[in-house]
Amino acid sequence: MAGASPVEVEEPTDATDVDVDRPWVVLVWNDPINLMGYVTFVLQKLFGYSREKATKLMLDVHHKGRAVVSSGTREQAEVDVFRLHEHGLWATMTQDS
Amino acid sequence: MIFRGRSPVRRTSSGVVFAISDDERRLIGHLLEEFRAEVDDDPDQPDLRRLFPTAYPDDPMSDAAYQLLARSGLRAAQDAACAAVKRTLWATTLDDDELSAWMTTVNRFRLVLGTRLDVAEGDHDVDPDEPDVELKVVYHYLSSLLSLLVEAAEP
Repeated sequence: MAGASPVEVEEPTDATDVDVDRPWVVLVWNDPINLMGYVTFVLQKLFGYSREKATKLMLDVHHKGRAVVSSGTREQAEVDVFRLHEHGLWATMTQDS
Repeated sequence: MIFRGRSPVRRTSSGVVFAISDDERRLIGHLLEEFRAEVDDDPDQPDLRRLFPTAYPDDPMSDAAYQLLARSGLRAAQDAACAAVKRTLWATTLDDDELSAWMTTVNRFRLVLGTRLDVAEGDHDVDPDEPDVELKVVYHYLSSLLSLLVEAAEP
């Protein structure tokens, strides 16, 4: 899986890099196994998104390789990632730059 | 097909009708046993990696902490869903929680089989001469079952 292997960690270079106010984003990545209809359903179920919004996000995942499906505090992002993992989606989190 | 029959999984006013065949139920029962045995045997084996994904791809320390906490939760969720599928293996109707357990479990089987088969996007053809033909047939069957389950789950 591309993107799944650990890479070198960059040390923070100045104070803005550790800004706790910057939101965390949750990404869902394209993968060859998960079905488009299933991904749309999971996004509706977990985030309460409309069918239109969930379909748009699913298509972004499919065509662009990934999409931001939620954002918030680190704790909230981790909960969202866990729920996506529970449903078998390939989700990661990162602090917004 | 011009004429499409009624789906064996469909929502009615009294719940979700669940009318897959006995052969299909036996196959799912068999996969449940196999899946549980594999996860119990070695949850770190490469074929199962999609069941326990990385949360922080750029931060090994944070990811190690996530794995420490999330793995037992993911295992518990997988076990609970497997138990619900086992309980309703011969059911003729499903409630929404049971339908959800079927969806996540069938998808987990697909994640494991798809990883083992190294499937690529749009990989819909089955070559009868290839060595993994039985696994591929099962994988494609699970894909069509999941589509039916998702259709029935949609409001």
